[in-house]
Amino acid sequence: MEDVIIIGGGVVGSLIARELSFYEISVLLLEKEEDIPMGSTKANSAIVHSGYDPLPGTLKAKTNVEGNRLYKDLCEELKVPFKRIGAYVLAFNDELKTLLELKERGKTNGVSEIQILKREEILKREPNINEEVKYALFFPTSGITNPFLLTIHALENAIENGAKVKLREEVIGIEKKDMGYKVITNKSEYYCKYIINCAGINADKIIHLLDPDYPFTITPRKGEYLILDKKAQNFVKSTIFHVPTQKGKGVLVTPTVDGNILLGPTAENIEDREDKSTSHEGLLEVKEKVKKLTPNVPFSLVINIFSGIRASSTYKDFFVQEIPEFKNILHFAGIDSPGLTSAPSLAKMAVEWLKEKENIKRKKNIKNFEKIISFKELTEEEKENLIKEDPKWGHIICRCEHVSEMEVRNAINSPLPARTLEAIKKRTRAGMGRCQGAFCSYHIMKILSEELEIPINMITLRGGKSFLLNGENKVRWKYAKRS
Amino acid sequence: MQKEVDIVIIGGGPAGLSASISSAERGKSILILERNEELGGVLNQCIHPGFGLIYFKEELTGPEYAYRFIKEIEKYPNIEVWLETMVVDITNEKEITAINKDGIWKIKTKAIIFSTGCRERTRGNLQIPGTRPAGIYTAGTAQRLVNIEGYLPGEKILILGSGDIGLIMARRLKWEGAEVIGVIEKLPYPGGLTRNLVQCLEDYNIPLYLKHTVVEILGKDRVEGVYIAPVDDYGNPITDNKKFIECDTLLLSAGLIPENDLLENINIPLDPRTQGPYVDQYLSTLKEGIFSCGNSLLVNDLVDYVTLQGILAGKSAVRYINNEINIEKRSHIEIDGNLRLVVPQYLSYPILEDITFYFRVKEPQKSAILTLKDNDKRIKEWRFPVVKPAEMIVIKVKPEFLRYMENPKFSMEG
Amino acid sequence: MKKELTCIVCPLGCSLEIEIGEDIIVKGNKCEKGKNYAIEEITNPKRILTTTIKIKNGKYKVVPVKTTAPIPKEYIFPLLEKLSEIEISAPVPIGYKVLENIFQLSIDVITTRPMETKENTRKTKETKKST
Repeated sequence: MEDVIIIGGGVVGSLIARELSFYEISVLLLEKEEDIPMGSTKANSAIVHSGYDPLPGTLKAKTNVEGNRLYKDLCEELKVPFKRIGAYVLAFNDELKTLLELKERGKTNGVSEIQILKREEILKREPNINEEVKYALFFPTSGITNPFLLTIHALENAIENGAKVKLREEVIGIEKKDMGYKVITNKSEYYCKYIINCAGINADKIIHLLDPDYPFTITPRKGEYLILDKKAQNFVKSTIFHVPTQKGKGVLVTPTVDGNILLGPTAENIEDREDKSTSHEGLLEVKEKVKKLTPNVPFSLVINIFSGIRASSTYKDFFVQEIPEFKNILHFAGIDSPGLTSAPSLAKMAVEWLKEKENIKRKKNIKNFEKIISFKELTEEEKENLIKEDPKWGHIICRCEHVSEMEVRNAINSPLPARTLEAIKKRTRAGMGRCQGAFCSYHIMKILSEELEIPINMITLRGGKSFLLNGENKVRWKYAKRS
Repeated sequence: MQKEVDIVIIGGGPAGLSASISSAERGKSILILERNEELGGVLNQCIHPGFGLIYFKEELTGPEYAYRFIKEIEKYPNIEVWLETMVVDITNEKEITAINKDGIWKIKTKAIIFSTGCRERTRGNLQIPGTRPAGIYTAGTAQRLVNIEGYLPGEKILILGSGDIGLIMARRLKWEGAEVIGVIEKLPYPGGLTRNLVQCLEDYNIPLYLKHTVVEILGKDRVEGVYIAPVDDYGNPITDNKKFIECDTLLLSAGLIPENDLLENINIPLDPRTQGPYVDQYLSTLKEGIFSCGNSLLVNDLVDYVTLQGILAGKSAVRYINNEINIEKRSHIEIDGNLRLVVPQYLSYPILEDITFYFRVKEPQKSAILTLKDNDKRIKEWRFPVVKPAEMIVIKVKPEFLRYMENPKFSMEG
Repeated sequence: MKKELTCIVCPLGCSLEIEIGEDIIVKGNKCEKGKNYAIEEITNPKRILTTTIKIKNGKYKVVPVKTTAPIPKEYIFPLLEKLSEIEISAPVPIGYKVLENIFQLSIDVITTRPMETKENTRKTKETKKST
């Protein structure tokens, strides 16, 4: 019997798991995929928004501004990169009025230090912005982070503090029991007093397991992106937006914490929640739209394309509620933009909710997150010492991102073990650089095979049947009679 | 940790190997820094024949070709080899920072030879839309998997790009028991050598689709198929005519990019046409004491040329250290007509020896004439019955034709 | 019977048209070498086979091999089948004979690189470290 079961290991679920692991309660997180994060947290703009966009008075507005304030300390605690690089919202032609409204909205929401800038100043600061720009708002509190590491480190820290995690377990049923609930997964059954639904793109499915007629539906919205090589590093220094429209904040150009430039996203309502494909039209749309913001984008430096799905919903705000007939289940549903920014604040809400129900006590000894994350970022002396400790630190296997063999092995032998090529990539950046894994993937497959003690052809890209290799050479000649 | 040596060679593939021997012969102390676990570079995975016809006058496989040099190196006590060593930084004062299992090294040297090879264009570079399943490999990665590790990437394979590695992999995979469905090429002509087209595709009835490209990848966990479509004369896909092809693997053989990130870090100018550094006939970059050879200088189609460039770079590095290179004047070589690139791009005067020039053309052409001019004055011409983009043109020019030219220019006309 | 071939003797890549009757008539070749190539290709096409075979206890799990001379094309797949059943043990030198006189052709299959043992690979690395 658990005190709390959290469904879903995205950024919201993982941060909640961490917050709750600081209390004298038992916490179990269930994730249907091979690794975390796999849904909306995995593929988004990685922006920590200032909070000018959500409508005043909404939960989005409140948690956005509060989340933004929490980010700096949170990222320090979890050793996740976070940079307050600021964001520009550009106005062309007659959009000054909209800009002023936006400034007011930001102020109402509690966003601080908003500046309004004229063309010359904008172009002085960001020379690659379209010269036709008339005005811009600058939001210095806007930032960027690494959503993978934030989620993984949060959950690892939760595990260090006693939380349990079950991967590859999909919740397929929830039954009301005298003492709480029975949660049925594809593999097992668990009992608990409280449930927190953080199932992201599938949060409505969890709600509908309880009440099939409950009027709440996720309307998945896909966004396609392009990433530029680090050679484009200085193309822009801050995040660049256009004034927002009905459909969202539109296409942006932003640096990433790793020194790449990210372009996108599109916003397309889709039927299939699993559809993470990119399209010729989508990529073209991104290119056309970013040209309006920054005309000279070096598209020849594209190193990757991807898409992500936002868990938008029929409800206009974040849906953070209990459903009256099903007490003690808190749903975090419809967490689309600014979900990543709001997540730390939403996690605090989950704690407050539980505190109202139970007298929970904070643990005396909370373990801090302590892990060497990026070898590359260390000083030479620190590097020397590590190599002396274990020479595998000195074996660099990812030549583009300078990831060492030890980092890969550590990722496999961590509280939340990496078991797939993609899981290694999320934790270490091996394979994320300009060769996109062409040189290092077989090295990593060999290490995975060695550490996990499974044949190399059982290694997958991201779990399921995503096997990377077929089998040994000549198997066909050996085992099949040729016709 | 500190280290001092006359010449550092970055990359222990065919270019670095021959460069090390040619400079060691001349009595210098050499250090080869190789990031892989053995010397030989890409040759170790090129187990097919066709190597050495020019340099050794016999046909060898890649590993055999590499072995001859690796054996030779063992004879020189003045060549030191560090394997699994990664160069992370270089300063303008030629101080190299490298990491290996022994620690962090600061290496002081008089000359550096870059022989870092090239990397392959990826799905991201090519911006092929669709899902992101397992089963998408560059041809070179697949070659490593099959030929060194002994594993097949898939069962039903489609190859995008008709470069030589793709063609050779088509036959290799066929031989190892996979089904090779076809080779897709965006251009109206194949990217690989004729020999490979005949012996790798035609021999096994593997179809080649010219003027086609992959427009979408399908499959959730593993590749389940792709859509291919014809392209118009500007290379834009005509998606209305797209066709589904079932496969579990997509190999990309759509071009190589010289790896010169370290050179860029110290602002050594690169030629956008070769994507390697600008060099003169000594294979010296525009920064004194830094040399370049092999596929990081320009993508070669025969390893024999890579070896010859390595030998020249090694010799030049020694001459540089001995102060035997005295440049009075330098002129930039222009190209025109059907020429896409030339190496070297500069001539440093005085010219004392024969110079080998390497060219590639933009388009296939019959009865082509290559002309060397200085300020529109015709100096010499060479005739070719046929020239192709896939096949490098190599000519040797005697110093008497190259004396003090103001504006040297090569052009290729019909 | 008519056949078409692309000549591979030189970069010219002539398209050859071959008529096979009592005599073999080659058209489209621009030189004598092209004619000889066509006749050889029609009467007795040969290829060098290069592939890998399994190796026990080696640095890698397979070692590359080749036929010492070109073999008739029809022997390629039978030879591959034969090689799929062979496994040798490391260490082996370069040029090690894996199969001798295959199909009575006086042609051997040999390794094209030396393959040291796993242990030896480790040892050389450790010696290097201590120096």
